[in-house]
Amino acid sequence: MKADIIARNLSKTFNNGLTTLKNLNFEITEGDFVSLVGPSGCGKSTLLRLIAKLEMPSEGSLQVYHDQIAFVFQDAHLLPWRNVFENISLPLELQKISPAEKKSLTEQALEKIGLKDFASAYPAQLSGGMKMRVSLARALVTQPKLLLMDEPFAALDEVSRASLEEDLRKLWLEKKMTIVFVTHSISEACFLTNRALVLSSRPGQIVLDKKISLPENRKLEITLSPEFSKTAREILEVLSANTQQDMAAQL
Amino acid sequence: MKMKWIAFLPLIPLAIAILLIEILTRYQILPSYLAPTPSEVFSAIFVDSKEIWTAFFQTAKAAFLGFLMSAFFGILIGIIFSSSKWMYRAFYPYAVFFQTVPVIAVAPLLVIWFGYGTPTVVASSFIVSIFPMIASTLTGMRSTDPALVDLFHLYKANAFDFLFKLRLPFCLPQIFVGLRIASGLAVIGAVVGEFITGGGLGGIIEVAKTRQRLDLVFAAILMATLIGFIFLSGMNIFSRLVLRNWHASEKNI
Repeated sequence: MKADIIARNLSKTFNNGLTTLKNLNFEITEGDFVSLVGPSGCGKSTLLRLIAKLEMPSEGSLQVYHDQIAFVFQDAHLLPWRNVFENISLPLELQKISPAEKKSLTEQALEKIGLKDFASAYPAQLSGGMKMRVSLARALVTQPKLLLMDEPFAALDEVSRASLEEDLRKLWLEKKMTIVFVTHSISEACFLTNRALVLSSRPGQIVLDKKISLPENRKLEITLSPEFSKTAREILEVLSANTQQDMAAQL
Repeated sequence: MKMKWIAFLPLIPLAIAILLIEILTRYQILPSYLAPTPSEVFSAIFVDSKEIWTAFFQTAKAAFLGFLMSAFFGILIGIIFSSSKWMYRAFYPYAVFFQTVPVIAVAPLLVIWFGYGTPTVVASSFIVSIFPMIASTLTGMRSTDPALVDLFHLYKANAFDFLFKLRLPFCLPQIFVGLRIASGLAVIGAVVGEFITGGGLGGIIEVAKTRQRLDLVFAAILMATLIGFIFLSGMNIFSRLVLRNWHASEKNI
C-alpha cells in the first residue's frame, strides 16, 4: 500500500504563540478511511487544514501526495444565491471544466447523493440534513482522491446523521478514496472508519492509533455488537485518561 | 388579498391630518404666514403646475445622476479598500471626509468649480451620498464566510472568481442597505445644491421663501419627498428582485 499522507515531527504554533499540535508522526495509506478523534480544541481541525494546505506547518514536515482534494466543513456553507445544482457544480466551475462535462459530473453527483429532485431548490428551502448532502455532493463532484471532513455531521439530528453516515460508508466502499474524518464522537469514529487516530488535549499529540476491525459492510446494528463496544471502550479510556491529565495539570 | 388592504392603511391617518390642518389654517386658528392651507398647496402642484413639475424633473435628474455616481464609485472604492490593507490605511480617512464635511459649507466652492448649473447640483448630491455606499460595501466585503474563502482557495479560484462569484454576491444585502440610504441622501444633496445655484425644487424653495409664497415652499417640499420616495421604492423593488430567493431580509414581508 502506498502512503498518501506522511507527517514527520509535525508541529503547529500560531502567531499568537498557541501550540495546537506537537510532534506528530503518522502515515495514512491510500484508500484508508481514518478518523481523528479528540477533545475540543485539541487541534484536529488544524491538522485537517494543514493537510488541505490551508495552513503551513511550523515545524517538521507534512507530505500529501494528492492535489485533487475536497473539504467538507462542519456546516454546509453553501452559496445562498445559487440553487442546489449550481452549488454542486461550483468546484468544476472554479477549475474551468468544460460546460458539458460540468453538467454530466454534477448530475452524477446529484444522483449519487439522492438530490435529483432538488436540483433547482435554493439552500434556504432545505433542511439541515439536506444542506449537508448538497455540501457532500459538492465535495464529491470533482471525484477527489482525498476527502477531508471536519465534523460534518455534528450539527445534525440523529436520523439525518445516521442516514448520511451509512451513505458515506457506502460511497467509500465503492470509490475507495482516502478519507480523513474529524469527529469528537467515538461511536461515529468506530462506525464509519477503519482506523482511529486519537489526539490528546492541546497541544495535540497522538495517544492512540487504533485499527477498527469491524466488517467492511456495516449496518447500524453493528453498534450493538460486543466487538464495537470493545473498540469504543478502548478509545474512550485513552481519551479520558489524556483529557483528565491535562485538566489536572491546569489546576 | 388581505395584504392589499393593509398597504393602503397609512392613507387614513394622512387624510385625517390633512383635514385637520385644512380646518386649522382655513379658519385662521393657525395664522396663514406660518402655514398655507393644504388646498393651496395642492393647487400649487396641480394648477400652477408647470413650474413645479419642471423643477421636479430637474431635481430628480440631478439627484439620480449623483446617486448613480455614488453607487458606482462607492462600490468600487469599497472593493478596493477591502482588498488592500494599504489602500485602506492610506485613503480611508479621506473617505470619511465626505461623511463629515458639511455640504452646505462646500457648496459655494462647488459653484466656483462647476458653475451655476446641474454639475454643481450633481456634485453636491454625490458628496452627500457616497459615504454610506463605501461603508456598506466595505462591511459586506469583510463579512465573507471564511469557510467559503477556504473552499475557493482549495479549488485554486482566480481573483476574478473570488470577486464575482464569492465576495460581491455575499455583500449584496449590505450594498442594498447602502443604496437605500444613499438614495434618500442624494435627494437631500441635490436640494441643498440648488439652494446655492438656483433651479430645481431647491431653487423654488429659495425664491418662494423670500416672496412669502408658503404654498409653493410646501409644494416643493412635497415634491422633493416624492422624489426620495420613488428612489427608495425603486431600490426596495430592485433588492427584492435580486435577493428574494436567498436572503432572509427579503422573505415574507
